[in-house]
Amino acid sequence: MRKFFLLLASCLSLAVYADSMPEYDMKATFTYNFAAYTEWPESSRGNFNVCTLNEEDVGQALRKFEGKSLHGRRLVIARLSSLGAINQCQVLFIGERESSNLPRILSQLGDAPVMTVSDVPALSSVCMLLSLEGTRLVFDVNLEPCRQAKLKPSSTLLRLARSVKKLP
Amino acid sequence: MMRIYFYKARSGRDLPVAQELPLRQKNEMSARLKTLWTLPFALALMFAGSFTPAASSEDLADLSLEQLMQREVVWASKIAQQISDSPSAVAIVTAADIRAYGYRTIADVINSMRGLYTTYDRRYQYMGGRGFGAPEDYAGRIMLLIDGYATQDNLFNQAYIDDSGLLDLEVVERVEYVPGTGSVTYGNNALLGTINIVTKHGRDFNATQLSGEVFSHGGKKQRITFGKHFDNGADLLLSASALDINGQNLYFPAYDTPATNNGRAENIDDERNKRFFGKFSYEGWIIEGGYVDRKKMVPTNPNPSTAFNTPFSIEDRNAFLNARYETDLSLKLRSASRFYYGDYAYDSTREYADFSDGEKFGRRQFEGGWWGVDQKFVGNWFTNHSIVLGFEYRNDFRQDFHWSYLSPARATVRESEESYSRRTSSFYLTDEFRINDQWSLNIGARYDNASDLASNWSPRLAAIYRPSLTTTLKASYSEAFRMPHAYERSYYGTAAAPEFVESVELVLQHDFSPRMRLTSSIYRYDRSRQMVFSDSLDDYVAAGSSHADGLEVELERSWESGIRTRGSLAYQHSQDIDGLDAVNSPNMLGKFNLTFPMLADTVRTGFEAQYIGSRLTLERRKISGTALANLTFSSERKWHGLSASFSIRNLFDNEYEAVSPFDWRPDSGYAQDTLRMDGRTFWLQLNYDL
Repeated sequence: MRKFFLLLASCLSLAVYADSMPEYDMKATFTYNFAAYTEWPESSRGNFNVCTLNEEDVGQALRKFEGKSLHGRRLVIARLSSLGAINQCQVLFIGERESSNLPRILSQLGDAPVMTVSDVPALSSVCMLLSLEGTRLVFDVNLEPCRQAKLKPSSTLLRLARSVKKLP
Repeated sequence: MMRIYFYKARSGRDLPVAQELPLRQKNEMSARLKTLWTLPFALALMFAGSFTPAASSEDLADLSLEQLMQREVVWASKIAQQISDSPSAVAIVTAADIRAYGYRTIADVINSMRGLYTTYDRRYQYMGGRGFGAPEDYAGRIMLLIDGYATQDNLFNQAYIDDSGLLDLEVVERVEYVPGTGSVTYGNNALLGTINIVTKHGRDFNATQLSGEVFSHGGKKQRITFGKHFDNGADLLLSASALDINGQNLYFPAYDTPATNNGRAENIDDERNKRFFGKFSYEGWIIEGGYVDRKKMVPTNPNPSTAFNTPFSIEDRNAFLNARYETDLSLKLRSASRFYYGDYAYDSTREYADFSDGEKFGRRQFEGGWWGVDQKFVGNWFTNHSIVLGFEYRNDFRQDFHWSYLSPARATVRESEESYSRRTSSFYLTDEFRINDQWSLNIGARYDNASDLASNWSPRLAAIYRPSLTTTLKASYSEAFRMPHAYERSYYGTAAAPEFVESVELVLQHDFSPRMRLTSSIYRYDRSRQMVFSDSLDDYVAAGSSHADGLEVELERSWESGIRTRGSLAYQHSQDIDGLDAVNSPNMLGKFNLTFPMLADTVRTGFEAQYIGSRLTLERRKISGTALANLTFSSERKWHGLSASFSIRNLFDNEYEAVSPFDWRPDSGYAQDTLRMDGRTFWLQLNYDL
């Protein structure tokens, strides 16, 4: 059995990806950038809340950004599991488990300044949608929900997006 | 005669609670194991040395969006991830596995898991693994949770994993087995392992499904399941089923005398059950309930005073209601509130061989009832801490035993009753502390205070180390306890006392690729204050101790084409309270599973092989190891709403035996310390979605 282990250990492919990043770190970093490259309406609140809804992996990865300063406010990460507090968020990353609840989430948010983000292809009515293209992560911007939330994505964001769904 | 009277008068489920075992020398296996202990450490060092964490040392916020978009994504594992936060080597079986391998009971699922096995005595399936599984255990030192509700009854603390279990596997989304102690989370009884069952939602069916099954030994089953997800977000699942098996005429060599029908038990193996399950969820609410009533005729003679080949019935009825509400009170504070209610009834009748005292029939009617509330908070107030705190109150308000003895004309000759109750208040606190990207700590403790016992603390300390994106090492130390259950309080009287276990475990998990994972674990359990008979006191005392240690390795792999495979080997060694090799604890267990689609992805084949090594019987006889194979074909897609599944269990029709819980010899003088198990059996299921 000892031989078996040694063999196993020596067979490991020790790939260290210099220019690569784990999926959830990547999604978290994109989400952070969406917030950084977007203009929010004026607010007197001291905190800038980036939330995940039933998406623990991205939520965990986002913890690295906690406490950073964004738009002059302190970044706070919240990992939510219900709709109870979503209106307090500035960014809301919606996980796959919540995909069937999207209509309720959007109606509860109304025109509150909350940027909706997701990586679930079916949730195309969110503001920012992440998708896989080959081995790269890309994103689409949907301007209608962004406008409803009174958010102004920067020109950089719109330029780098794979597609921009214009206002009707 | 005294002893037989004792069984007749007081025994709960016709099993001696403590076994009297002849002494024998300690064995030499533990020396071998000590060398094995060093292996995972060596492995861990190898992994740790060869990886450098990518992306963690740089500040992700400093990457520009342009730079970010040039990066390649390393995909997270495609292999099912554990839900529970336990720092042990969790085993997972998903709904896809259940279908691919034709699992019909939780016992089937358990048998496929690394290092685990079940033992059947033609009444119940009992679970074993990591040194536990002694024939008298009633699967009683593990937790069986359905969506967080602990299903064990409050008389025997038995987890029902066969046809007496609460669920049809068609409504199960996944089964997660968490080996090791869970008292830090669940308190009482989470001594050796926890089975977490997660049920499906209505949306997983989104139809009314009719199902019919036929199988060997005259088995039939019907099921109807309704599932719907409503536009307002509400979700409803309802399911009901009925099972009816004629059973077999079985031969028991130990009863092969003319006075006991030459060992043949005829027409006393039938089994029936009825199940109901419902689950409703809306916004943060989930309300679910289940009911099962299983009646089984017992073809063995499970009690020395009963007559072989006479009707002996057992009926177990379990019901529960579990309502929970989860909400985020604020961005940093989550609340989960839960109310549960459980009910259990046991009804058994039997015929005695010797009824010269005028008592020919015996009947046992036991009833249990309990309810509880649990309030849990998860606080993320501090960046690197996730704090769980909560309290639970549980009231075991009914623990009633009723024994009655009837004349040949079925008039009550004598009866006796006992009633117990217990109220338990608990408090728990856990902190998951992320020190940095590589290291985190999981520290917790739970305090339980029962009305009839001294209070107890169950601590757990775990360190988790992630030297790279793909490698995780977990080391943990924990203590758990188990209160004497109501039947033990009846049996041991004032001697009844809690039992304890200390466990250490080291787990290594490595993802070779998102589709290939190695899991290995090395563990040791030290149990203490187990009940042992003292000749000098002429009574039982809680002074016994025993231990188990072992090593498990599993390799799991899947391919995009739909092929999935996993294989595992487990070596375990356990010593009982007499310092002898534990009974019914094989040193070696092996599992192999392979499933693949074929015929243009229309049919899925599931093949599994299981090896259980040689093990000792209650008479300390060694029975040889057994390899079993099962084969299942299932439709991969629905055709006009139709789907089907066909299984062959014990494919090669191996003759094999299981260790029995019967330690006495009948009049023939032959041992009955083993029971012959079934040969090849068949099972066919047809489903139709309306």
